[in-house]
Amino acid sequence: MRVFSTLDLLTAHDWTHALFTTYSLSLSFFESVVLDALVRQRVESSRIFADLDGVRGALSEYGARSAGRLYDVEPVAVTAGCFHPKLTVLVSAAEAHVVIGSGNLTFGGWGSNLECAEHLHAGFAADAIEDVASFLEAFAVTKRAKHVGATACFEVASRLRKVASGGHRSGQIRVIHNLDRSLFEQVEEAVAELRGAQRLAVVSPFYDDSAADTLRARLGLEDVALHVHEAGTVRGTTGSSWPFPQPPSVRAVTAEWAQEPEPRALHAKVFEVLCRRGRILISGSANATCAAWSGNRNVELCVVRTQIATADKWILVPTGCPQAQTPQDAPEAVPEHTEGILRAAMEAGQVQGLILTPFPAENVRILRVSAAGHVDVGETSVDEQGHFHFPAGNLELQGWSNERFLLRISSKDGHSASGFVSFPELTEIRTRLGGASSSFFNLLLGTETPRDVAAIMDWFFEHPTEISPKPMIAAAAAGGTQTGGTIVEVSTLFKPPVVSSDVFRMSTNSGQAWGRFLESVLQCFREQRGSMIEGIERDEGEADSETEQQSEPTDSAELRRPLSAFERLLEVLLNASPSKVDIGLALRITNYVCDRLDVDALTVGHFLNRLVDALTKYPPKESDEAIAKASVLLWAAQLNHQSDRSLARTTRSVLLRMGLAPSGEMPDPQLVHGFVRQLRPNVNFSELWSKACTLRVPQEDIRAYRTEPGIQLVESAFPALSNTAEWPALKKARRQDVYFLRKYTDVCPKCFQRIPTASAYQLKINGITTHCGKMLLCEEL
Amino acid sequence: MATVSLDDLSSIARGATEPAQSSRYTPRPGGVDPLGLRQINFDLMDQVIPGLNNVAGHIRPFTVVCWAWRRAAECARDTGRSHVDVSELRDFVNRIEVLFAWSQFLLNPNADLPGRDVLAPLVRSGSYRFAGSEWKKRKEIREYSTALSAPVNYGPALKTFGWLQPDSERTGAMIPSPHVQQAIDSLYLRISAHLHHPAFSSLGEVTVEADSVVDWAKIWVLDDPSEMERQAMAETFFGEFSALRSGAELIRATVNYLSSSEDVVAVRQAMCGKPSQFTVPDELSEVSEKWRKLQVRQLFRFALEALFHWCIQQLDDGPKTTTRLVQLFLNEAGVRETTQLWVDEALDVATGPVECIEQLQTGLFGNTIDESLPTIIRRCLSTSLSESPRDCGLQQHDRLPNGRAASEMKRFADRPPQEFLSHVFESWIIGQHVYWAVGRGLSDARARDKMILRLKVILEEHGWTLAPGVSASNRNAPNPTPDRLATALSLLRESGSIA
Repeated sequence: MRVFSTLDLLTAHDWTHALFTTYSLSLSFFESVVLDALVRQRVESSRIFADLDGVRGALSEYGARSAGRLYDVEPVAVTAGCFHPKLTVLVSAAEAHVVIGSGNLTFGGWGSNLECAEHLHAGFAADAIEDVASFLEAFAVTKRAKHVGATACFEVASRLRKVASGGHRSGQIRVIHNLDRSLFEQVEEAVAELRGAQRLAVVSPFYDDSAADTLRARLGLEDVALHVHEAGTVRGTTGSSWPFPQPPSVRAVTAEWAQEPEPRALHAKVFEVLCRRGRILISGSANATCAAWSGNRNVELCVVRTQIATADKWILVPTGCPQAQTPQDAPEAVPEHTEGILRAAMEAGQVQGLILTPFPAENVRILRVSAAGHVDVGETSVDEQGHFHFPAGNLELQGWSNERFLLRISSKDGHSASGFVSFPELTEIRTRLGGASSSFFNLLLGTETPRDVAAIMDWFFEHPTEISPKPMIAAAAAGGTQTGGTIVEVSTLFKPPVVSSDVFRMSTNSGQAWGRFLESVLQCFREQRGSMIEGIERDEGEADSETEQQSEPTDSAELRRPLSAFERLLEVLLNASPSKVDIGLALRITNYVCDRLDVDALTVGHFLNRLVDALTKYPPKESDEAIAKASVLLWAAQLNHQSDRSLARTTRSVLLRMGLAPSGEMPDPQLVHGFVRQLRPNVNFSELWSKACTLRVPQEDIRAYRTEPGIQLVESAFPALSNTAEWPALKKARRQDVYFLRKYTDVCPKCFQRIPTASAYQLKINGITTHCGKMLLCEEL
Repeated sequence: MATVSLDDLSSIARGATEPAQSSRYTPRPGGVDPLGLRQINFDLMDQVIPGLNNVAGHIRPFTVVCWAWRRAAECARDTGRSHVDVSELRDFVNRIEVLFAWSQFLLNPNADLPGRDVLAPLVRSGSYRFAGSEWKKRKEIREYSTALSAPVNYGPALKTFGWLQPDSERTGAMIPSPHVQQAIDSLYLRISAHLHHPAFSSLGEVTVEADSVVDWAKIWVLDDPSEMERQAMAETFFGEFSALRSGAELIRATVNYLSSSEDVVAVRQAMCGKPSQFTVPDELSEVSEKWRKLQVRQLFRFALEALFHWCIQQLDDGPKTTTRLVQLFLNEAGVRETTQLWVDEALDVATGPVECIEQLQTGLFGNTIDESLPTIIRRCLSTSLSESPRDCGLQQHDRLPNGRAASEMKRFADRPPQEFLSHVFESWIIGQHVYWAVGRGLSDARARDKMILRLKVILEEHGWTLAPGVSASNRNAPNPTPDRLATALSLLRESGSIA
């Protein structure tokens, strides 16, 4: 028998939609293997329908985090059995392929176990593709199963029908399910069309005591051959690996096709009926149990191949009957309480949910479940149908974040239910973001790459009104600075860059949902995430011991690209019209970029200079004062200074110029972690802040002198001014000989002559000088 | 990415007469830092020994790379051109780096330099042509792996120590800083007799004979820096504005106390304070506290990774539920009535974080018969949690900061340790592991990078199970992340700053 990998099919085409159904579900498997492939293929929409048991297991996987964001999980409650189909639907505008088999969405189901799989497409089995569409439509409305994925079922069914309409039909491969009629009936009919059965052989991991025998009897046969698998079968929670007690009609055989050089545990379910006019092969999810083959218990899906006048048949070798399997481990205590399952969606600021398991109508507490524990988020009531709703509040912001999103509701009398939350508005958000959407979601998940950063910066550059409520088109049109090319002027190679006073101290050493989404994006720029470049190198390229190894080269241009995109954006941010400059945002994005891209200290210093300069022109909002103060402290720490006192004075001066009060608690330097990490300042911030808070600058004294004409010129009242060389002269000067300047100028306002350079410098720095017999006092900081 | 085209798959499906068997899933396993905790350790290292890594332990490579950039600029000037492509300069620097490493491996096959294996064919050959596709490929591979300037070798320290600066236009060219000019001059002097060789005097294609490389080996011996080079490095550590200064002062004071720098573990222990007898001078108490905080984090991460490794070993013989894992662990580590008692009882005042790390390392590799691995893990976990701060500051929540762990432990303080350990296994161990394994995988997927299965433990129908291809061998046992102390000690010794 040939082998087939659904993963190969996934990676062979750019699918747009994917739909999976499964009984068991391992989200860690799905996210690390299947989702990985879906992301690589840029699949737009992915959805998993899983039995409640599968979802219950998936809920205990703390690490899987993308449910509800990158794909949806739809729990399915089947009234009297379980939801058992194993279906993969992959569609694009031109292609529709389905895989129907026995493998669940687990490592076992996708390769560790021996499974069966039928790969069908409209090119040869259009009627089977339409059967799958019919199954999805029936599943959407059936009363036997409770779920909230009907719309998705109809949508995928419609896509299947569209592609199948132009396909090829042979009628020999059909898909059957038991939502309307039992498998027994349908197979019986198919066999009758081939003039009756002559032999029945079954390969199945699970049996009950009667299904195989019932099928034999309905087909009018004397015996049924059951395969005994050398490597054993997958252990299940129900059923047995052999019908016990064994009916007399059963004989044990080994089906040759199921033999493998390195045998795997059996989980494939295939039935062969040799008929008078051909052969029928039934494969898929149905075990040899009445729960599967009847029409009112499990939901199953199988492929029926009808081969007319064929000589093909399985080779069956008689063998001994197996012993009943005994449990490997001592049984663990059965939990007293089985958690109920809910499904919720967050839309338009509301959480709407449905509990799929029995739950009394009553008031419940709502908890958000995270790896760190449960967080109480409020109260609501559940109605008799299991519906509940409540305002999303802050949950929505958390929903965009990088942790998995689970809700749990619990009642006072001990009932509880948990489940995943989906975000239907993501579709609209993805549309608005276009090609950059995956980059934005990576940012929210904390898994962004340099390429994502470049895409995000480009997107904001192209949509400047989105990052800020005001247009910045003019600035954008002006264009940004270009980073250097790869050609360098030789003469500059002998000139170290001028860095002393600035940096490099180490050298001397859519609506509402859209708005909320953007808010979450901007929140990412506030987080301390560390270097993604280091992450690439440290996490993936090198082992802990940093022993020598060859790693694949990373494209260095790829690392420069996001920085270049950011610089372009920064120009836009800082060159907007004055009332529209959001300096806090510019600080945060710059800090984020420096942190994540590991920008070199020289460039960081350059950015910091630009931002501090901009801060003096565009004072920060109150909410940005802390980060602005932290930036100024760090900026000051890079300056060459004669003494700690002069540094503190400069710091205070700049803060005052920005309209920021140098008082209160020291701003946390970690607010600008990205800058700090690169610049590595060697300054005691606490001391610097303390001094900057207590020292006065001469301009403050001058202002006080101007506004309080009667004040005595004594040292204690003018601590800064009294330290200047002109203080004795000022004390002696008559008030009418003192001339106050609000703004600095190097032209004397009395004689209109240019003030000598040294005096002008004094006026600028210390706010005081003498000229043409007058004392000039300038209070501009 | 696809190895089989859709046309091929469609054609096979069309021709099939029977259902197919599922093919085996054969992932490429890989990945380091399985619980995603390491970044916080790096951040804490940055607070004491910033800018250094665990490789850049010799002064001479700093000088060689700086000299190479200066010499490349001179060669460019000598061509008479006004502008030069930066790639030509990089090519020259690359060549010098290779020649330096090649010559040192000839002198000492075990020279402490990156690239021994990849340079082996070159070392054995009679000559090498620095041009053509082979050289281009070699350069590409070296750029992020074995080049001296690579980010995993001397690259970061060269820049953060300020020995090299980007040119003002940031074209990618680097310029040696003025304060290391004398160190470079001293190397220049040693090489001056050989400058006529095209390898040292021209950009572009050059062929170098092994005989020449042998001649050059002794002029720039790896561990024999000149006085000027020593001074430059000492200034880097102890200069007035050096961010390394307080850390370096602590190291020097500790080494003075111990009278030796040979035993790295002893230095590491004493730098932490208690239980060491070394009294940290007041002016260094702040940096000593930072160092201790780092070691507590190192211990926490190591303890959790050891627990993860133990977990993998337990799953080697089949799936197990969380309850079963907890039961097996407590059978060996011991049980108390409450989590707080379970933690407190394991503490030992005579055992600091560094001592715990040593014990755990011994326990992991089976060199102890006195205590079981779970018992040691219990002590390590308890020690790290008892010294953890109450808050996380701005540390990333999903990196499991010690503050977060300590506050979560407090929630279980009055409850049985079984509940606490269930949380540890499901959230701190497997939850963290899946979160980071999947997250990094998806990052690769988005970048269409190589596909690696980092997942080691998965949830299947019967409980936690090993992922395909995962080995429970002790060869995969974790090690604590090197904390840069060994490289700092090496540089300080070579600079003559410590004994």
